Amino acid sequence: MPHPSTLPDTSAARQAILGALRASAPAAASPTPDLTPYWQGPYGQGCAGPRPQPATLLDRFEAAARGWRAEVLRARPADWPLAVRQALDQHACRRVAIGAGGPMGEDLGAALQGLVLRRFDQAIEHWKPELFDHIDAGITHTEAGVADTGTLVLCPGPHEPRTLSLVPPLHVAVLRASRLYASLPAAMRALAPEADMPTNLLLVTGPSKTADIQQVLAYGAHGPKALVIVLVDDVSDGGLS
Amino acid sequence: MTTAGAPLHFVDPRHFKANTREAVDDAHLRRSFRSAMDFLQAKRGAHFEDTAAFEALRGVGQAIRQYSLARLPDLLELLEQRLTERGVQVHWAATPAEANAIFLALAREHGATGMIKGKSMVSEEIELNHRMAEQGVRCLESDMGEYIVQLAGERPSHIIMPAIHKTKQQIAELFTQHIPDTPYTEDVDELIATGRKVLRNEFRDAKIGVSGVNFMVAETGSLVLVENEGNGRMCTTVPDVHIAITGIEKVVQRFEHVLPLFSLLTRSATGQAVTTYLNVITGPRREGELDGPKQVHLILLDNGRSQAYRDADFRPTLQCIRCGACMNHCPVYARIGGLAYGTTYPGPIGAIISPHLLGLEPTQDLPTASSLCGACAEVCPVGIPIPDLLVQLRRAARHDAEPGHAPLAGQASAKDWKEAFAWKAWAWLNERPVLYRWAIGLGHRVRWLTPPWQGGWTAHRTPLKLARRGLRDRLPGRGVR
Repeated sequence: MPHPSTLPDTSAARQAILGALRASAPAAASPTPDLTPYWQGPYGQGCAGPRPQPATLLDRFEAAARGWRAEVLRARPADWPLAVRQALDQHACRRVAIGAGGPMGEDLGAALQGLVLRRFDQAIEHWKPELFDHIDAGITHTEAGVADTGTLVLCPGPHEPRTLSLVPPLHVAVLRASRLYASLPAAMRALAPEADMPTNLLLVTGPSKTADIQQVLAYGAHGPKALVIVLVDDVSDGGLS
Repeated sequence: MTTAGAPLHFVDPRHFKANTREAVDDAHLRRSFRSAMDFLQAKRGAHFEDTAAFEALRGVGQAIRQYSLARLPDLLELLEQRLTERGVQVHWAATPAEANAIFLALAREHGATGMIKGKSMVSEEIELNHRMAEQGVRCLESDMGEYIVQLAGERPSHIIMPAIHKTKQQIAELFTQHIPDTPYTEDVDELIATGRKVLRNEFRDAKIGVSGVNFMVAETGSLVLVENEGNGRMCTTVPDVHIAITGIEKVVQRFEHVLPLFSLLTRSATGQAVTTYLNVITGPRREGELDGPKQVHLILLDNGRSQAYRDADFRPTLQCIRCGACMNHCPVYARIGGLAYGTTYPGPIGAIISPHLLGLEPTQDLPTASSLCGACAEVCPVGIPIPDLLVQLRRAARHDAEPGHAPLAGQASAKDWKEAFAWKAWAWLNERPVLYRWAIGLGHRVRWLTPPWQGGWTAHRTPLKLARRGLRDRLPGRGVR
């Protein structure tokens, strides 16, 4: 039985801490940090000058993502659901979760024939055991990609909950090449999430991993054991190049 | 299932010198650390071969941290306001005891008998696991390294790689001993799979998840977590309640300030351009969302940080982003490991932060654990002048505060009255030339009385003895006047 609220009142500690800090904070205003060297340096590619054409970033993104042990499947705008299916079959996934009312549900339907498709359409507490113990893969779309590091930018929400890319052992992420940026700061300056921060903004690079035992790298620590990125080429003329 | 609450192999920083002797005599431990430090140094080095690029990035990181600290009270108030608007409940704790009281009250309020934890050094600082165990609340570590350390009933020996002192054989034995139906294996993939299986059930069933925080963004009211394993995401997403705890210094103003610090943090810590996850949390589950915690609490801990803040000389200590590069490059840490320090934060950063957290009395020896070689300052991604701070703390341990500076907790606790008197007498003598000459002359004549044992000096050196004749007497014979 939950107890009635007995949370300690911490306003005295608040006053003491802020008072001590105020008493010793420097009086002179300090200059606002200048981030230009970051944006112009090797870690901020694509921040200065015009945005590099996404078509020029596909290969770099793929190489970087593979470097972090993500699998990358290229697809055309017309046939990407088949690539998703291919990924699921390769990983022997039978029970697959997708967001409800998300941007991809309808397109995927036909391609997932024969699999058990579970829509994430109720609060997690109603089906936690099933999500944890019986779902083989979660499929999500991707807000943006970072070519420099092979990173995915995800903005989970009602249509694609946070656990979809976390709990199932396989995460399949669909990324449109038109959403590729050269570097992380370039992507963040374009997306400007700080204007209206979502509950969760997430960067994902490769599958979950750890080197906590004798610095030996092992995959599948607590998050997905494998990450497949379906890279939809919506920027090259010929599609698959 | 676990040994949470079992007696900690507690090491007291007061016994630092004895601890170091024990540590350097442990060949096994030294091999573990040497190879781990070589590995981490090489991985970091590969990312910063272009030193000009590193310097430029470090300049940005340092400027952000200094700016954030200069505005710290304003930013904390703005952060609190934005967090509250987003539905996060903010609590303040001046001491570890106050922080633990908040944790306990939250556990009681939600009827929770346990909590699942992501990695948090601040929770180590308040000894959360043991304080909760005393009250019947079980805290389970879920970071693989922390889980191993907890099974062993030990403390983390490194802030980024907590189980760096453990071999896979020791870990295999721990797992066989503590986890039912686990056969002995030294295969790292299998060991990790075992940990994954055990902890997955815990994530699923826990009511409360606990995490640390790497950065807080004041303007957006966001908590930023950096990790590879995904346990941080689990702890902050799956349970109904998320409690985050962190030090008051971790705040920055704008979201864009996080990115250069993230670039510096991951490269400096483990030599990764990015970690698997960067998790930005802004408030509890909103209307219409189907997962995420229903309550988010943030505990802001002072625990001596405001003392470091008070003095402009010590304030740079709080620039730290906890990457661990200073320990990875410290020749002392590499030889004695993290446990000998007896503090939550070991190595050079531990030697400069622990005196503020615990007072100088128990930690007075820690700032002496350095040859002042400067490697820590060279690699620090936010430009903390660690060797200068070590020297200042050595002085503060042995001398009263200088005029214009408030004394630190434990100021002058290592003051040696005999030594202070000797220096005073020496100064007095120097001001009286006649007496000085007479006394020195006497000293040369009775040099045979020099004791062969001269305290710490003769532990590793030959005794100091006056020469038969002083320099002053010899020079005229050599034509020097």
